[in-house]
Amino acid sequence: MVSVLWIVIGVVVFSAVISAIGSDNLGEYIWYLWITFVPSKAARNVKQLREVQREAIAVSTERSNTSSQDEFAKWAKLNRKVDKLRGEIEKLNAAISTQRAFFKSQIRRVIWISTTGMKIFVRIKYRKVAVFWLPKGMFPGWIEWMLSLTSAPKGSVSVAAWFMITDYAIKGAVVFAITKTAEFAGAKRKMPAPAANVSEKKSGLEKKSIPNEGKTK
Amino acid sequence: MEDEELAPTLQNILDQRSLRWIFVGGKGGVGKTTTSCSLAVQLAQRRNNVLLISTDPAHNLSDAFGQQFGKEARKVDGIPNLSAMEIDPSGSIQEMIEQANAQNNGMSNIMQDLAFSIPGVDEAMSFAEVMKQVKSTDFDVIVFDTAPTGHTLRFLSFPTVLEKALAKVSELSGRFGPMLNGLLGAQAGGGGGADGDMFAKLESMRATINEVNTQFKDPDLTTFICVCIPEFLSLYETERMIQELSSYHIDVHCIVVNQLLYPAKSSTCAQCNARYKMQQKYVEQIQDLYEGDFHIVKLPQLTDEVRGTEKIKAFSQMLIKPYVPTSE
Repeated sequence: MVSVLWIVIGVVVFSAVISAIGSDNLGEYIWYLWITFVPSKAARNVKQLREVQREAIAVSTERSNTSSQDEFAKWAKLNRKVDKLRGEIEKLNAAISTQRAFFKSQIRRVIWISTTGMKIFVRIKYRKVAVFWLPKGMFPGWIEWMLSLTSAPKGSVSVAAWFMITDYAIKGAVVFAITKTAEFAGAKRKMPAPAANVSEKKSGLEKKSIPNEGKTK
Repeated sequence: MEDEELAPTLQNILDQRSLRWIFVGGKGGVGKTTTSCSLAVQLAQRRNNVLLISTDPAHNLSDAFGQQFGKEARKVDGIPNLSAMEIDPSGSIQEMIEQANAQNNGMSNIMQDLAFSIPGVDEAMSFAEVMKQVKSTDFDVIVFDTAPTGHTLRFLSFPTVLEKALAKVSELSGRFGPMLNGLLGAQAGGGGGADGDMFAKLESMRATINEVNTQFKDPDLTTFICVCIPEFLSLYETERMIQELSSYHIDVHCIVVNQLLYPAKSSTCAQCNARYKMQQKYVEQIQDLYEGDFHIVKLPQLTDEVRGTEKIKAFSQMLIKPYVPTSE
């Protein structure tokens, strides 16, 4: 049995990572995996949508290659077909977006259970457990009492307090890590052009600052 | 094979005794009035009571029959069983504005603004007139000569639009009516009562609109005849109109191609021959595109205008017996 200490750290790290990625983004990624690899109804709809879209483009090109003055009948028939296909595309799009919304709401529910739900569960299950014992005499009585809220034995750190502490520490760390990685990736894209920079300066051209440079999702 | 079943005449319209509403439409001077008058004349020979209605403010019916028509249905001279009516939409709106201004009621002003902002209020006025007239007298079939501006489709979709608008207004009135009554209670002493009436009237109107809507979508009761000329833009408009009518579920299965030129073989007129060639090209396209599903009637360009009861009667024969150009 893993000690409560590590369980708490695990849950908090997991929640922080998920909130840094964003539950919406996560939903999108998992949806994409779902329709690519799992033969579900949604995947079939998406495939059908792509086929219909391809057909619509083909018919539309054929129509624009037909002179409406000289071959009105053929042009009109192609026109009708394009309208019909567009109607189908709209229907499929609507069906897919409802499926997607449902899927993402399910994912959101799973995420909630595994993060907030887990936190509540752990807090309740281990409420009387001492995560670790404070060295005697290190902290004054009132601090010891606060750290043992709500039901842990006095002189130890309770799960609730430990949650707060790890939350504060890890959230900061995860956010910092992800921002630094993003900056690094952005900087890498900027890198290839130091020589050009120098020559531009020589020709007197000011390198205008691009507002969103370096900012990634 | 299917060609033989769909005769190039309007006999099917005359034979279909269940029809109550016949719309004749098409964009821009293609011969709607001539066709609708001719059709009405033919129908009058086979039905007890036919009404011909025009909403065009240019008074075509009066010109066509050489007789003055107005807002009330009047019998056409020389043609038994046929009555005609010309509705001027702008006139009706004027009346309504004057009526509404007479009651200085805060609530009614709001309703006025609301009513005038509903899309197609012109069509609404024509519609209202029609409903009023039709409910009072009994006509077997009503032929509409529609306005040349192509607003026919707005008119036909009007029942649906109005139904939705009225549904919204009823909903809003249900929610805000009590509140507004309280606010305006001080100014409009009797206003509360009047508003209640208004909403009741709207509700009954909604029921009528619904009924008309259902009738328009029933192919046994309503049909639309597209009139066109064998030229590109008219064809394009006809195709667009047919698609739009299908989307409203209004039956359309007849097309009248008007103003066809048949120059004599010995003719040396360069323009006539060129025009004839161009028209034949488009007539072929029309056949190709519509033959299986539509009756295609071809009417010739005559050397004089079709005006006056006798000329209309003669012209109307061509709706049932296809015109055969004399070959010289």
